[in-house]
Amino acid sequence: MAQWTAKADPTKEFFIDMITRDIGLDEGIFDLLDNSIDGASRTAEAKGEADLSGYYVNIVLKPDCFSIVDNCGGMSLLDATDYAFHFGRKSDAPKDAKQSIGLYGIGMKRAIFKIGKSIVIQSSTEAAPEEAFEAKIDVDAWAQEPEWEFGLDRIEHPDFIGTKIVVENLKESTASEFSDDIFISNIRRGLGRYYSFFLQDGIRIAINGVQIVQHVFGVRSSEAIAPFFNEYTDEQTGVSVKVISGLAGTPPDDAGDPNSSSVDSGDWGWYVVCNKRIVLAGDKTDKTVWGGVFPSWHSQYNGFMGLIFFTAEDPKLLPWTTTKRQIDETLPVFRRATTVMRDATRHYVTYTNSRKANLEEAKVIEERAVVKSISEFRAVAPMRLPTFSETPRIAMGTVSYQQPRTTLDRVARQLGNSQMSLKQIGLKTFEYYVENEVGE
Amino acid sequence: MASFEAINYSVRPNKCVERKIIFESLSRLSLAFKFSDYHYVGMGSMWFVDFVMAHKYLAIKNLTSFELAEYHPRAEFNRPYKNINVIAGPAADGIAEFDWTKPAIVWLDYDSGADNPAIFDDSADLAARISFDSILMVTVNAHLGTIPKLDEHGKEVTKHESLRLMLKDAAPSKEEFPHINAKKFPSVLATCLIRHIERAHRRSGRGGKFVPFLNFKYTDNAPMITVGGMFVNEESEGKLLNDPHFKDSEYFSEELYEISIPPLTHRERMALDALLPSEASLTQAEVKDVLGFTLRQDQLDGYSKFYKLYPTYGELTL
Repeated sequence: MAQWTAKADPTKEFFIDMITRDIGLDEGIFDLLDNSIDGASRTAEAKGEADLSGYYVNIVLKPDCFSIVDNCGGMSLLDATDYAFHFGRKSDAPKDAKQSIGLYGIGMKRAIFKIGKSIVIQSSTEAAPEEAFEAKIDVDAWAQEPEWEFGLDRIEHPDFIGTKIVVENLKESTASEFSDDIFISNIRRGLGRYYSFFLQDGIRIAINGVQIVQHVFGVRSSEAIAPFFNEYTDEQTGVSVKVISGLAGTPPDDAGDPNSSSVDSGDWGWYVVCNKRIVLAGDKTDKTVWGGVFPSWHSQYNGFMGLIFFTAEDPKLLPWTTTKRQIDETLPVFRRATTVMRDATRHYVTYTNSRKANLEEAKVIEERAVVKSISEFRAVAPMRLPTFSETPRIAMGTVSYQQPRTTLDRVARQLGNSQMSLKQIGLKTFEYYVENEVGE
Repeated sequence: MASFEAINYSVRPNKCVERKIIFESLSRLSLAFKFSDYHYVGMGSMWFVDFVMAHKYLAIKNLTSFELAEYHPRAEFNRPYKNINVIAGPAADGIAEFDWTKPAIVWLDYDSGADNPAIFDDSADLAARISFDSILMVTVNAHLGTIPKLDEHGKEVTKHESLRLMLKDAAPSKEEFPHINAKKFPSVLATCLIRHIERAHRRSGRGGKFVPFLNFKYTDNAPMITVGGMFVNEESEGKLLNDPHFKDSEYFSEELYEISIPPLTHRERMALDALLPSEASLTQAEVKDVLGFTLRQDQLDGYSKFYKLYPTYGELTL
């Protein structure tokens, strides 16, 4: 027996103030949405429905109020009394939907504490409407109580099936973000991407009444170009893994121009998807494959997109962290997958070099390949990219000079494209001189 | 359009009406806010029209104009009063160096549109620095044709993509603004610019907020918009919102207020003036009675609304 004991009980303040710091406001909102989607998947599964098109989630972000209302089945009283409000997932928790995205038992509490101080949670299920309940939480008062409990009251005659969470008395920082239309517009943009594969399944998500539009991830495909596709089951864990990667945009002509930007430069790179939820988007770092023994990301690779899907009944097997916006890249199932990802990437990296041998032809072939949605690719097939024979080398020189920005802008406009890159301006004006002033 | 309906760009009558509306409206607010102690900061060009009005209507003594270095000597020569300080260099430099501790009325009056990155950069920079009770107005070209159709590689881009390239996070989303056409673009651009200013101010972490109320749209040549408002803290917000002139003004609104005056000859104006004021707009029938021909109803509406502000142009020998 130990001589002394050191107290290790957690404090409520720790949960209210500290765990909310490790998560962004957007991630908190995503966490609540994850719960709704799990509910929809669970209900659809139980009812034998083919997709999620019967389900919706309406989120309202206002400076004085947050709410999320869904028709995704609701929480049973037993789930609520024994599990949902528990901090951390209990080991005897009932099995969630197949391939669920809620896993740590921290998301809802952390999110609502992040948002505000006066919280009402209501839930009602189709199976047991008489067990519909309501939890009212005054966070400051709750922090003063010694018990780790939330009181649940019965709702007589509930007029809804699903879950409603309303938070008022918002934290100052939260209210400030919710008053910003650009913040809200960014959340919509993020949802269209991170939840692309659930939106594809038909679930409808709205923010302040505006429906989220799915961002469709796609790669180019034609006779000459086909994406890398590989699918396998990780032997040690049973996690199924699928990799699709290829040319999604147009590689730049001019990778050396640091001012180079394109509409979607944030879109390029690797995506890690766990049970349909995108966890890491457009990664260009050593979290995935870039750098180390492999080439680091370079703007020459703009136009590359790779997605790796991890799918498992038990979400704990998947390489995500509690915020679900980062991956745990140390997990062996992920480590093993990077070999395949590197194979996929290497093909592309090689191609971006070889296409320089015949840039004009490469551009024609690339443009001709249409962008097809990721979900249309099913069968394992080898990656196809055009090959170009080296044209005989001509000795080349580089011309470089500086001109005032205003003059360059005028020239670009005269050339018919105000957004033209500096390199293009140089090339076009030089070509013009050669054509008009230089004899045969 | 017949050529006589086209407008001599150099006189820009709608712009002239906008200036009058803004300075007259602000002068009514000068009981609540002591604008005479403010600084007026603008882009006076060689004409300094707004500077003269700031001095005359609002009795502002400290006036500063930003002018590119190459035009600086000429602007210096043309400044109508000695208390106008012309700072050489791009507005961005002027904004960075200026002392913003005193409240100011700032008018960033651009000819260019969303494709000029300085517009969004400068207004955000100002919103983050400017002191409470200050007024910021930004005028930009809202012609849909100013949105580039090609990206820097010469690839065709949609309007949404093109705006996203230029305005980044401030760009209008497809979800919220699914269709952007020439008619809607001015109000879309105004919304984006206001949100951008609000965000920049909010992110400067000083509390308070931006109350947009000086929002106008007019077309002399290209459609132009002005968005503007006041940065308020709790105290000045109450002062502004409860001011009787603020509450009563027909020109103050969160939506774009359209200024549209028809090009008319002097004789036509005299004849129409004789029918005004009237409760409702002039009708085509009564105009036909007097003139023997009629004008479009929207032209009559515009004239009925703005006849008192309609500028008179003439040639004179000095």
